Amino acid sequence: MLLAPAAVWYVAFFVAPLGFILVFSFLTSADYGGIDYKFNLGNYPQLLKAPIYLRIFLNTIGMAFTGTALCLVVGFPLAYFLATRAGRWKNVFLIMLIVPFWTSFLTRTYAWLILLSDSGPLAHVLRQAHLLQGDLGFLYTYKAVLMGVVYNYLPLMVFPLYVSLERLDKRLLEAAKDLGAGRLRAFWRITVPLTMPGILTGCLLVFIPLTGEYVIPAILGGAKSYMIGNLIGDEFVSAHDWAFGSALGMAVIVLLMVLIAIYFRLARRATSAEMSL
Amino acid sequence: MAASTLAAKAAGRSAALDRAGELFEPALRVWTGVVFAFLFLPIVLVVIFSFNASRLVEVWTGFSLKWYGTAWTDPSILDALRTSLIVAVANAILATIFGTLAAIGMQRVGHRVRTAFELMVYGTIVTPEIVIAIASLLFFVTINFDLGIPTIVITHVVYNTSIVALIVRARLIGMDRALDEAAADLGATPIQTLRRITIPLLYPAILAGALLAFTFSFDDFVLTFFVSGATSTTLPLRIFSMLRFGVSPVVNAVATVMLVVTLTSIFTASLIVRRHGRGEGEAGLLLAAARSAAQRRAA
Amino acid sequence: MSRPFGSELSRREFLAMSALATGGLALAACGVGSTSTASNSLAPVGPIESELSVYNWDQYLSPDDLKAFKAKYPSLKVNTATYASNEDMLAKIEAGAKGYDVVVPTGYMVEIMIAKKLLMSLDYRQLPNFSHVDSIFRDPGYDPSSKHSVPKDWGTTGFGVRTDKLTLMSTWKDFFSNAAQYKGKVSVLDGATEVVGMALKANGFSYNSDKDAELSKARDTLLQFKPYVGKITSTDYKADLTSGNIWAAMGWNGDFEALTGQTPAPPVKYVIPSEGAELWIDCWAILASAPHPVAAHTFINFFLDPKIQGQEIQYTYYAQAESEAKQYMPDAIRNDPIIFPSADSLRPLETRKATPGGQRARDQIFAEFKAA
Repeated sequence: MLLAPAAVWYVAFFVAPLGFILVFSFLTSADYGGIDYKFNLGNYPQLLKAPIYLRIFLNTIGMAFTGTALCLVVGFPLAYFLATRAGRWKNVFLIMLIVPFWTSFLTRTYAWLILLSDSGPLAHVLRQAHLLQGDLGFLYTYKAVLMGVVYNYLPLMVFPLYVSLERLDKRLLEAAKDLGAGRLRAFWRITVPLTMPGILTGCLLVFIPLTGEYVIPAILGGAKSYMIGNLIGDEFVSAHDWAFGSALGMAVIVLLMVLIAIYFRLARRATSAEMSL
Repeated sequence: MAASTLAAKAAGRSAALDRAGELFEPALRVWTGVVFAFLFLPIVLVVIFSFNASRLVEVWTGFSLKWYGTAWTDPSILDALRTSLIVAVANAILATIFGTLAAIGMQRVGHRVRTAFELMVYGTIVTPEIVIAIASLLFFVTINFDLGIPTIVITHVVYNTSIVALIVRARLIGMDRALDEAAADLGATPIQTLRRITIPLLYPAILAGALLAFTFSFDDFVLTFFVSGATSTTLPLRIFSMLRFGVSPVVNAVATVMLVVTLTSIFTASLIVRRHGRGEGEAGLLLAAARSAAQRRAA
Repeated sequence: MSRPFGSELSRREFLAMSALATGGLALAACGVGSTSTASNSLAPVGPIESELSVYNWDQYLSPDDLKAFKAKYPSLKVNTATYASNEDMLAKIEAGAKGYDVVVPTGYMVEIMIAKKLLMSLDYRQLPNFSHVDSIFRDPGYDPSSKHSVPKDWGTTGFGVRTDKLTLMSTWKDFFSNAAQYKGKVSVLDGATEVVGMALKANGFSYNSDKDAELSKARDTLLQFKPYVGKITSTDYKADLTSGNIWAAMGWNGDFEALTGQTPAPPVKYVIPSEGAELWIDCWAILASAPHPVAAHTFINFFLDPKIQGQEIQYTYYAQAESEAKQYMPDAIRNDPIIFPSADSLRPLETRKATPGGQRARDQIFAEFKAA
């Protein structure tokens, strides 16, 4: 069966390893890392004990949400252009979209560090043009994180959007125009519903990994951005608290799965509306 | 009186909308340009500073190719590059195959099986990378599987299969089932249908998925850090350790070379592909045949 | 690079350090060759293997010296892999990663790894160059009788300031309480022990304090300081200081020394605060699971050669543990107060001694600090 190869792979190399984490979340951390095989239910309650964990989680969800929305806003016109106006150059544009991502994530992000620095080229140019006095004040703020997020996650949004838009039958739009519908109306009543699968996929593909993102906030956001990804990484590596880190990890997974389930329930309603067209 | 004001208002509004509509095309183009500029801005910086004689990015002390020389003669960088490419290509091939098959398969199975499978697909994306990284390391150690290129590929494929599956599926949803039926009517076996109809029509999505899979694998850090062995360093790992003194010009040189190499190979590949055309013609013919057959039946 | 080991410098240690620092005669009090070699049952030394894997911090080994080593043993294939913190390395080794031979843990990490049985007992028959190591380093608190490690280099943790942007401070107390002046342009290391330890120092307590009351005060200092902190990083502060993104940074002396060597050099001054700071020693060690022990010993022995050490320091800017190496260093380095601090400034330094309870408390405080 078609699902077999992927399914086998998932079970062997995802479910099985994750089982370790699940088990660890119920054990105790050994000193300086590693696991003591002592049963311990205290890791999960610890999550709720101190408010900082909940706060970090909410911050992360907020950042992921905003980031996804921005990606959608920035990416949709781009995907639209690629799918409908690019003609023969479609594939070229697609590849140009992804080419920056072959230069290594760290190189790109550190390049932004230079660009956004108070003594960097951008600040310099703006100062020469008298558009800026003093510091750029962009680096090591939440804004810088969002910018970095959009920069790195845009293809994940644009590709599904493009794929969906490309499949859109232009004749439907022509028919709408013939029937007197304005551009905006045609967009809302035809384009959006029919490309909903693409929109949903794009949002999902961005939002979910974004919740686990921690490198971009660390490099561009400085001390002000501490996400759940940072916390889990720190718990495992810096604090050597494998048991608690595992509990955190499992909790994040479960919570996100719940969010996705809700998302899909809402989305099903949106796509079924499309079907009645 | 009231009617004419209304009419005037309506006329005014549609005139405004028309003007707005006229701006639409150029606005779209401008936006695309802005976004691409945004995407390439840091890249331009990287390329420029790979030629900077000074080690620091704050000062430009002259044009120099010396960093390229350093990169070329540093075996660890070339090794890392080679490892990264091997991993990324292997991963892209496997993930695309598994993911495409999975996307097609998901449409055909019952509700229960699909949900169970979907759980795993989303699970792989939902899990924070650090968690799966450590989990995978523990797993490999327990089953005594040596760390190296195979372990890196295995773990990358897990995540990227899901990406490919979801992208292909987005395209697949609502795709004309009539084509499948028509093909069956005309006597094609499921495999033939798959090969000559479904997959060619899914081609853009498959390509998109493969590109993404390759890119994520090539660029990955966290997962790779944990499951790479003593002899298998990838480029991101190598670069990360070089960044302690700030953006290294050698790194910029490597990035620029990568850029040039990939761009040239893409353009050559696209020239070749253009010559051979694509198989959408077959699907179109089939559709036409199916439609005419349906018309004949209805007549 | 996270840091050290041990406890308060004993008078003997202090004197020896200052002797090293001033380039004078090393105290030969303990005499040479006092290495009580570890194991009773030493396997016979076999032929050198064909491969070697070194797991090291990045840019912590001179490429020229590595080339010289490879030239000396041309049939030996040397792989290098890097990590950015002791914890990263430990996480991987603990999880069972195999294939690495040589690692470079800091003193306190040596102690932890010994307790976890992750290190191999060294075979001193294969390390004749150990005789050049100064006696003071031969029996450290973190690794009695140097059974499992040899010193690679040592250094200090303090802070550096852009003197053109800020008035220079000389105490941790000022570093933390002048925060409002920094306007978000200050960074601290990404290490619980360093950050909490310095806060303890600022309040007049010991770097290694385990007392709840003292740790609580350190926590308060840190939480008051947090709103002004720009970045928490162990890797980016050199570039940040150069570009002016950061005006004051907690960091390691060798990194600040490297800054002075840049052209143009940013106006940064490195300070060992008067309350004291951390003194650390990075070590060569061999993993218990090392597949190529003979090659590993050969490698370490090569780098214990004083001539090689004199060259290494010109790359890493961190002080070596062999006074003999000094004759191979240029004057500028030998007399550099950042690399070889004065006796007075060394006096209040402490070396790290970790305890599970203390470490847990520090991790908790640091997590709170990061999330604030």
